[in-house]
Amino acid sequence: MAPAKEQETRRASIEQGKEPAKEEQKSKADSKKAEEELSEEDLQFKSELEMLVERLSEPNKDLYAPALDNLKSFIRDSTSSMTAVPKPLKFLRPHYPTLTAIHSNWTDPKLKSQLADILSVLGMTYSEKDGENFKRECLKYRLLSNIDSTISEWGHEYLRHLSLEIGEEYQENLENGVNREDTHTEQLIKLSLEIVPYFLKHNAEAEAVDLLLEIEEIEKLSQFVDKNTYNRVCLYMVSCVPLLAPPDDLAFLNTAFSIYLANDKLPQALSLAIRLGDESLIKSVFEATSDELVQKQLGFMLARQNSCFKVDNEAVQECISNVKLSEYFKYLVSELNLLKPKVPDDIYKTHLENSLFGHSSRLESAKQNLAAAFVNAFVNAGYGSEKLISDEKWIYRTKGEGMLLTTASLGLINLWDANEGLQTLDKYLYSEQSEVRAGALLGMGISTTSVHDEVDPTLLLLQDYISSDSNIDSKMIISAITGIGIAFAGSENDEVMNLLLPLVSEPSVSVEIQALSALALGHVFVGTCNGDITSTILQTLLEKETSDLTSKWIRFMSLGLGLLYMGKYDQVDDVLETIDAIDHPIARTLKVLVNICSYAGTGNVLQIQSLLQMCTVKPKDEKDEDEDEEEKEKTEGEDSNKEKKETSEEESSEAQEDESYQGYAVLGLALISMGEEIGQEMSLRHFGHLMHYGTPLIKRAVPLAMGLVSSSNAQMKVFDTLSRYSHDQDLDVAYNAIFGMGLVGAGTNNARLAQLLRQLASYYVNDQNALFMTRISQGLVHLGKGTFTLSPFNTDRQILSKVSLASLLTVSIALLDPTSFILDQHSSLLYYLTPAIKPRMLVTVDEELKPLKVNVRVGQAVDVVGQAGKPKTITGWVTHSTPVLLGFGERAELENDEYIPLTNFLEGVVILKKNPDYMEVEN
Amino acid sequence: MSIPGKSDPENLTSVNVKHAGKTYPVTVDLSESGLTFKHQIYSLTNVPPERQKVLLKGGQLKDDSDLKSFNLKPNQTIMVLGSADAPVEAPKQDVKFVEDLDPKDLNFNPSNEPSGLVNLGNTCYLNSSLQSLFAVDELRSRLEKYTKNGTGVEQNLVFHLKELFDKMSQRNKKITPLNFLTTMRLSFPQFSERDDSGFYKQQDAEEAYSQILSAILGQFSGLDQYFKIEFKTATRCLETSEDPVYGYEDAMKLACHITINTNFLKDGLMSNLKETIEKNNESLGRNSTYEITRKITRLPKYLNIHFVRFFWKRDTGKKSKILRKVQFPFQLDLIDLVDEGIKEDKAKVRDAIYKVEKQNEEESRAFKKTKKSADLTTREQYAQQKEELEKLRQKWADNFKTALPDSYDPASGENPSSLYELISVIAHQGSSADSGHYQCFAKDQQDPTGENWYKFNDDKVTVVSRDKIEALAGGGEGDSALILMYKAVGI
Repeated sequence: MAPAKEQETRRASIEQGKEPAKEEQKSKADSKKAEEELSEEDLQFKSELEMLVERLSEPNKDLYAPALDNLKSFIRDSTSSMTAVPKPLKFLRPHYPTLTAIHSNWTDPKLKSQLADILSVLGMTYSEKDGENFKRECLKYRLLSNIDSTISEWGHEYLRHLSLEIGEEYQENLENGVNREDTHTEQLIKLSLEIVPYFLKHNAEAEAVDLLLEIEEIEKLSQFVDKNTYNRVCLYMVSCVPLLAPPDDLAFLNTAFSIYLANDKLPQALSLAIRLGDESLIKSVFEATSDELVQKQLGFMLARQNSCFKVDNEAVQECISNVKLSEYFKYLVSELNLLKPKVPDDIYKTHLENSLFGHSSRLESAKQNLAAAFVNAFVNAGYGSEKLISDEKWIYRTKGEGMLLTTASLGLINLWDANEGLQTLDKYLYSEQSEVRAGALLGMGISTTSVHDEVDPTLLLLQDYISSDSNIDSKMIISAITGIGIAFAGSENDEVMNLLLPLVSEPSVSVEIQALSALALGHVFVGTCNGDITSTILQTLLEKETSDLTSKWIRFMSLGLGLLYMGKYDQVDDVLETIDAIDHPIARTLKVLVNICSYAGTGNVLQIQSLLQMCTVKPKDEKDEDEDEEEKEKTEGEDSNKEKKETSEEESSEAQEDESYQGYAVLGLALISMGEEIGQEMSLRHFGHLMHYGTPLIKRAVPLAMGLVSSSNAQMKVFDTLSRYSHDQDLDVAYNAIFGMGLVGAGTNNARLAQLLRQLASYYVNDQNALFMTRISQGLVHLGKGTFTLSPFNTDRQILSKVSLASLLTVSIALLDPTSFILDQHSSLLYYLTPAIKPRMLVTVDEELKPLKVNVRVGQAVDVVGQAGKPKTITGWVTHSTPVLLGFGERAELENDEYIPLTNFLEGVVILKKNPDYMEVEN
Repeated sequence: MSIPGKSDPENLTSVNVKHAGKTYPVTVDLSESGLTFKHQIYSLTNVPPERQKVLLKGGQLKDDSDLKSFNLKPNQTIMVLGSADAPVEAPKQDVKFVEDLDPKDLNFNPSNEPSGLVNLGNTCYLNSSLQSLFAVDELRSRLEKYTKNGTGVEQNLVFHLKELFDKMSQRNKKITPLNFLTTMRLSFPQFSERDDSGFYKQQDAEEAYSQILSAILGQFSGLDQYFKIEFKTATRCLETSEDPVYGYEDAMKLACHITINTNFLKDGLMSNLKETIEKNNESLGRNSTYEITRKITRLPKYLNIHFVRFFWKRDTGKKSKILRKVQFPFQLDLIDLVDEGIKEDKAKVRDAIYKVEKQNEEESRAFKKTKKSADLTTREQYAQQKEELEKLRQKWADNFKTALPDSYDPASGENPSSLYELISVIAHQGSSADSGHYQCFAKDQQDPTGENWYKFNDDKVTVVSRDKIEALAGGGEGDSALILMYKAVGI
């Protein structure tokens, strides 16, 4: 696929073809034997050709034209295929220098052009290896001859060779600083544009795209494609994107977008518009159709991205705003017969753990009860019913922050169901305990995540608690902030900004509140590059005292900034420059963080390399030296001992912060490489190395990175590796490895993984933290009883949901220091996973948006890019009746053409239209 | 503009109020205050106005809000939150949490696993010996009742052991056996040996095990019956045809010497019962070769078997270890080693026990297969299963009793059959006696399947499977069994 590689093989094939010709030449020179090998027919043909060449060198000008015509037709008759070297080329090769000499002697421009035409073809057999003068002969004479559609008469192989040389020439021109406006370059482009239609017509869309890429004219492609070719062309282009260096990748996406749009393939166009993150493009897709049903279908696609796109049509807006998501999900689970609530014990399966009947509950552990509350919430998420909190008053079997989180878990139970969720939680707002009240606020946010209407009840309910007023319990403020961050993730809601932005820069509130406000804003405005928020966060960071900057909360302020630039590497430079102005070690960390966010999902190799470089730096040595110096100073004067101690403490914590960029770098590897499959594979290898040679901080990040890169994709080799790490000496590594296992298996119900986790639960029965983490992971594996996914990829793995990625990243960054967050305190950050939770379902609906049952084939998706004919897109399929769950990497297709889907991406909610041409097949 | 207090038809708008999944049509007078509207809602939903949250575009409805400012459209749906029920209250009884315990109780062990013992510097030999002894019910129950009578060294030692065992019975997470260690080093100075840098040296677990055991047995009369093996010896001169001389011997353990031919535990035991010595023969007037054969005449309830793996290697000047793999069975039948006189009785009881065992096993299998009723919650299922298992266990014990001869007295400490089951293993890891690491493996007596074993690695206690025990046969520098403790089957 990579153009450079293609060139290599082409060159090789040409040279191979040339080789026999060379030998021929040699053998002819020294003996007659070789001539004997030629058949009568060939001999005659050869002499005929030689005669024509002879004629061209004679002074009789009248004979030139017919001779050239003859030559041309001889060559043309035999150049259609390159499996063997065409005889005319073979026989004429020795005469090539003669012919070039003739060409330079002639004056008649028409004849000259005609001869150049032929020379261009013969030039294919010569390369630089044959002498300095023979450089890109084919192209040279082509440019001296006609540049029009007739060149295609020379056949496919010639054009391929020509396009190769065009690419080389163009590159060389670029290196030599030749201007694009130069006539030579213009000619190259003109020539290319002649070649491209030919390629497209002959199923060589890859060559056409590569050629245009090399001459940087990809936008011109759209004028050449038609309804027969656009599909293959776009497929190829889109699959090239991760391999291209910016800005070519965006150009490709834009071109593919315009082609799809021109051909009325709106879902595909929309998917690219979402990838480009350009609202005006999305708008143009919606404007391209007046069919409300199609708009609704597009709305469902946008809904999956938590998009903030607004349309005037209320019914369509409802689709975009996920209003019916809960309804469809509940339809799915009732069809799958999963409605009965599960309790954590069903997941723990203690009876399968090693110690048979080992549980003598002499005392309750508030921590493990909290873990049970999380498991309960994860397992019953979205179902609207559970047993633990309602039947067993579980809230009061936890304490402190646990009560807050247990109350909030009701929000997850009623996920996407705004009415039910808010109503259920409302009564907890009147509780005596402030924790329960705070939990209710957080839960309200959770239950309405990605579901919006014009009233936005969550905002109305939570906004009163968001203020810098010191009379309000800080627990309430923090819960309300986090709740809003979760509820409005990706919504770009201006009211939210007006509400939270003042808190970010408010000096009277704690760093925690400031940082969490910034984080919430990061989630709400993920990938928007919002200028106001950027400047406020940067300003706040610049004004902070050095001591404040070492606070553990600052990382979330930084993350908030990073999230704003998620996937926007083209707009991040200014921010990176401003960060340099911060005179503190965290500047470096901040820079890494913003950078990895901006390149997320691009698969950019250069970035990956620079991150790997960061990971190999050993900051320890420097630190040791510093310490030595300090010790010396200490011995010098005892009076100032106290002071010195303070400074040394400060410095050591700074040094620690300084190292933490390595942790982010590791997460960055995952974030960047996840965009592309081969890079993803390679990153897993890198992680193995880092685990061997890395510093403790890096090791801590590796399991998280592995979880990120293959979230909800339970590959055995990944979770087996993680399971090995889960017994690491460094408990922090073990905690993260356990969580990584949860991420990898999230929503899969993977039996093997569940068994590994059960073993871990009995292994870590004495370690409260590890057990807590194991429980969380067990809950994640059974997320929504196995109906959800956390994977940020959707729509046939084409779109990377920034909202989902932001969620996963937030939790991962919190876990870089597991004992400061999640494990012992501030576990509410775990709820930031909520926006990433999506059902992995296919629900088909009719034109009234009522569920409709049809048969679909579900199988493993096959990559069909560049394959000839009409290949099957799935393999090993099983026929199901919708609604149906789709596993990782699975694709669905309708069994017959009774209905026509309004989108070719059979995922989520798909509207079906009756096919008017459908005929029942009689058995 | 309308006149306040009067219902002007222009001000009337019909809207839908949505509450708790139900929708109520309401006609609102826009000129009235928010509170009036809330009262209207109250009449429909029974939610008191002060607990209502009326959510409208533009904000929540306050008691004094002007309804007009919300631009209500006809038939608009308005969401109302709030419930008529009393707010949630905390339950009366307090839950006691582990986290609330005193720091001194933090040693609390949330699992049901036995306690571990802290390593006090090369004391793993002691820890594993103690764990192995702890598995003997009779020792434990006797020690529990022990009261100190006298101030002798041995009394002190046993008293501290009692204290230690009491603590272990509470199943705390870890216990530091400092007192016991100190008194033991006082009573047996050989364990106080130190290396060049002043640290206490690693010791042979077998030595510690035997010393402690004999110290305890010395304090309790009759307890040695549970461990004592008695032999009948026959000493025969190989060079004359004199009649063999018969005698009696007793021992607290069987030794298993390992030679080039020893592959199984039985091989080692057999060869050990037959030895040749040289002693003066009166009739010949010179030294002559004698063969001593021993036959077991009494089998105790607890059988200790010692693999003689350590020997003094003169050339290296070190206590070296034989790494040879010697397999040992989970169930051991010593019928080949007992004296002809009691062989028949033993065999009879053994066969009866076999029968009962088979029957019990079938029941156990059937128990495992029984389907759990689907109506019960998982927790109830546990409780039910636990109860049934307890009943079964009682029944199995009764079954065994039927197999024993009527004359059998459990207090005699004798094994009526020749059958033993493995209950604990002390294993050593490493290549020489002065180095390496000791661990104890003990069977989980509560587990009916026999699959679960506890591994005591000092203070770390983990559950391991039966396969791990099989792997203790040796053959490398990994854990290899040194002392086995077998317990009579059926009693």
